[in-house]
Amino acid sequence: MINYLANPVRFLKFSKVATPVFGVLAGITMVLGLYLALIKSPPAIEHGESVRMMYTHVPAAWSAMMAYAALTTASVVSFIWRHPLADSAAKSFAVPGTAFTFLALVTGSLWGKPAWGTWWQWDGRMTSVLILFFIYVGYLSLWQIIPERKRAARLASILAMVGFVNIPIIKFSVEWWNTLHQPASISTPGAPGMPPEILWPLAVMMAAYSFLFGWLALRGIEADIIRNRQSKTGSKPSARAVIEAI
Amino acid sequence: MITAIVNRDLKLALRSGGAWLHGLFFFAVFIALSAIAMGGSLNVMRPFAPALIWLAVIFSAMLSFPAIFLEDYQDGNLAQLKLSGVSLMRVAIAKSISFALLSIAPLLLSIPFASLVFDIPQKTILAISLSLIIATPALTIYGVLTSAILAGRRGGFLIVLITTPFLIPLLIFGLGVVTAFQESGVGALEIRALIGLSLISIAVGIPAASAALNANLE
Repeated sequence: MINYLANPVRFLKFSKVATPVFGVLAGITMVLGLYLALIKSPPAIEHGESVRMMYTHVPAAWSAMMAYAALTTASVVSFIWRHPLADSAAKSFAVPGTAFTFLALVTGSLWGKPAWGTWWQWDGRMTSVLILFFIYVGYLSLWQIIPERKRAARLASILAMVGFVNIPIIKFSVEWWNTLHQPASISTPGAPGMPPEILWPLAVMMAAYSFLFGWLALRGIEADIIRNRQSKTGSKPSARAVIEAI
Repeated sequence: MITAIVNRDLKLALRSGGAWLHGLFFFAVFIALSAIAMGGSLNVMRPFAPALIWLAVIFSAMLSFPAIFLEDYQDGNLAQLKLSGVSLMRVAIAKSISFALLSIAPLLLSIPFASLVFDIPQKTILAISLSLIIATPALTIYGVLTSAILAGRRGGFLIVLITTPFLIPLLIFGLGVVTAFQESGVGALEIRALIGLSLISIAVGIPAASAALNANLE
């Protein structure tokens, strides 16, 4: 599958079908998920109505981390096989990843005000998401500052891989430093768990964010391939001189 | 080969008219500025002294990071080293040693004096020095890595942005060592964690730095 898609022409053929599919699926699940989350689901006992913030916050934080995992995978492929498509993919995963991280921070802050009475707490998870945001911004600015595309891709992939090794260390040390955030209540074994009327909207929103991420990434890769091709062949729109007789 | 490169770096630094001491002056300026900003009362500043000294060292190191490979990249020395078949891994190790000697060691030596202006007890001074000595490999190698990535490009702020995430665990555990050492001595858990961070940085940072140099010299 990956081998087949590694060819940019074949990839463009595939993405011609896949991109609209992802876009439509993202739209449908987003509308459905927002309906379930904002209207259908009951308010939680401790959090009240403000629990609805969770349906935008938790998927954003998850997709931010998923995007970084995808970014690292693409970076490894790009570093080992020097594949231009993997470069485009890594770059296109980073942009929505940054946006999701920022969204997770903003929604977390908005949720923190009613839940904890403060916009920001220097607790383990919030701080590590903030640091993840710094890593993303550093990664993207590295792409910006290096003009030669191949070199930029190679250096950015090194940075992404070193960052990936460091993320668990940062997360562990920040959590060791200070912890207040409620522990993960979906995946932790033995945690109280969630009733289905809250879990379902969350699952649909998760799917919506994942499709949205897929759609944005595919669009980014397509645009990057075309931009790359144009800069290679130099087929920029030729200058036109119009001489008008007066 | 490693000693040859380190020797050359030391000679160049000694003949540079004291440019290698700029980091030390920055360190002093940072401490003076923080004392002024915090109102100058020793009783207020004493609890923050380890944090301020750590920050001063980190910022001073960050400002020295861009210079690690800048000149050697621009005047072609790195390309010559690569052409002559020297492994870039060795270059990265040599540059780490000379950076630690030229930019970090002066700061470490000045910590007792910096502690004087905060009037902190001897045991705390010892703890701060110990934590910084243990953290030196990691502090150095992440600097060498980012400098290798950005070799020859003007990106002072970018180097700060890129290295910050890697230095955060160091800052956390470094300051953890300062308190833990005073309570439980050399056996403290934090000391082992900080040693671990330094070892990880060597294992990850040196190969990554040599790969980055290679990419920049292609």
